[in-house]
Amino acid sequence: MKRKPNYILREVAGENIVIPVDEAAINFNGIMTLNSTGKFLWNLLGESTTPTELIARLEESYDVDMETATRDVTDFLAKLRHNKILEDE
Amino acid sequence: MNKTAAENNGILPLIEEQLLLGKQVTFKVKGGSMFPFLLSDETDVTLEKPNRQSAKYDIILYKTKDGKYVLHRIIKIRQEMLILMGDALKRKEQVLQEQVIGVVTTIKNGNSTTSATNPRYLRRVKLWVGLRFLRRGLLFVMRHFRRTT
Repeated sequence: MKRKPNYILREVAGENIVIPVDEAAINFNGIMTLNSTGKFLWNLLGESTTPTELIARLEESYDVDMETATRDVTDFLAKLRHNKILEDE
Repeated sequence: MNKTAAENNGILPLIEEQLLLGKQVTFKVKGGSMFPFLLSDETDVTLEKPNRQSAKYDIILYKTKDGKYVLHRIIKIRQEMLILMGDALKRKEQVLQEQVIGVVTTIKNGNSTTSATNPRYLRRVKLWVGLRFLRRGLLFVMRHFRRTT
């Protein structure tokens, strides 16, 4: 799986904001923002990857236990799926 | 109360960028300077890049010379100069057409969506701008009424 290419991440005033590139109208009220873990996972999802790989990379880079990393990755992927930003290959 | 209607909104540079790309953007108003037409933290406004010269009664988003973003209404046009005022304010601002980033096309308060060209809305705006010498008293009454309803 990977994220769809038609979204970009922009950092403005300390916030990481996901902007749809193709849409003609953007509602900033419902716009997705990411914390630092989210940004880390977002960047990894630019290339094809798996949940297991994401959990391992998160554990390694953020010094968190597997349970926390699994929960963070699961929640993040659910958020991306909900916003239709993820594509399965 | 004198806060500008687009203050405290760190994402405004991004909004400016998207408007410049020709996109329509919607965001929530911050600040009470456009009361009673735009309510802080309640009203959603939709803006577009201006595709014509600004006109009297337009609500425009502009950038001040020191980089602040302001969403106020044009009450007069004097040659190249746009004269603006917040609907709840009494202070005039002078803005050049080239400072205009976007123009409000739609105002959404709760479930009610109003186009900026809606004749009924424009009649209310014209009356409000025309009666601005009574603004202090009108605002006092309106705010009191809002609190007690």
